[in-house]
Amino acid sequence: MKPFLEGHEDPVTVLLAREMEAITDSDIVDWASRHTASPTYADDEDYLQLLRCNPRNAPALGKTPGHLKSLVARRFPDFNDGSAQAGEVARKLFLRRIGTYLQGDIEPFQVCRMISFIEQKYNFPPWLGDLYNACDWMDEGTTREQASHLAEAIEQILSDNGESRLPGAPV
Amino acid sequence: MSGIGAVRQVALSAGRHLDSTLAFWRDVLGMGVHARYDPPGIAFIMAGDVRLLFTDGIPAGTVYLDITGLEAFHAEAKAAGVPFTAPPALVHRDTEGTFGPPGESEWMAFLKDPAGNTIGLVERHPPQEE
Repeated sequence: MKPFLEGHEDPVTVLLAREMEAITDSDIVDWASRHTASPTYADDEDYLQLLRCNPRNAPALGKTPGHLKSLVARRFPDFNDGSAQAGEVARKLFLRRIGTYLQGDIEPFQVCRMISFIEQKYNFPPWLGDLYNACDWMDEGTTREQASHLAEAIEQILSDNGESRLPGAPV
Repeated sequence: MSGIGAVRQVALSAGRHLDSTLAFWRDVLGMGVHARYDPPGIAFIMAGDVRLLFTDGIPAGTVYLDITGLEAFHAEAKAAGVPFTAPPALVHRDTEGTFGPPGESEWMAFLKDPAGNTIGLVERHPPQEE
């Protein structure tokens, strides 16, 4: 499975992806290991903590969102996750993430757990489509077979947002 | 009329090491052993009025437990190094009041014990918290 983050994303994008549950703490560590940091934050102590984090050390892994948040607060003080600009980044992350469901990379609940953050932060944006209804009663145990309607809902959202659903297509 | 009523007991896997499994339930979930029988090597934990039976020879199961303060619990447990398989997330809005007061929503988080049992922690939120 290809990593969701490619490594070139800036810390603000990664923080937003984590806040909306598009990625996990392990993904943050993986991103840091492949990221080429800008000189503006390459020596930041919180960034260095991300680089040093052993993903098998659960307590250390649990602190990664905090380090990322501190890094962004210090080095990107203008960032506001509720802004229109952040909303557009969130939209792109969301569409890319749900696209990976069609490629079999993630389970239904990993799609559905993004909804509440997006609804609350961006005031029920139209790009969320009908995902809320499609996700009703989906939990961690829900299988792809049980959620056969989810792929259809995702395809509709991608189509409504002008996104190709072909694996590997640029988004 | 059958006379069959409420759930009395649910069986979960004890895993290879009953002690480790019970320690997890005690230390992470704050649920201590109610009774233990050696032999045959089984234990009970009470979840409200329901007995959770831990025994070997059965596959890992899934149980959903009510919790108050899910977000705070998740943050604290995660900081202590407890791995969650899923953080708190909205699973259902009970707009019709099918399972409680109308308009409430159900949030769930998931983790696994050492025996591989899945534990869903469930909290209902009133509408104003959405």
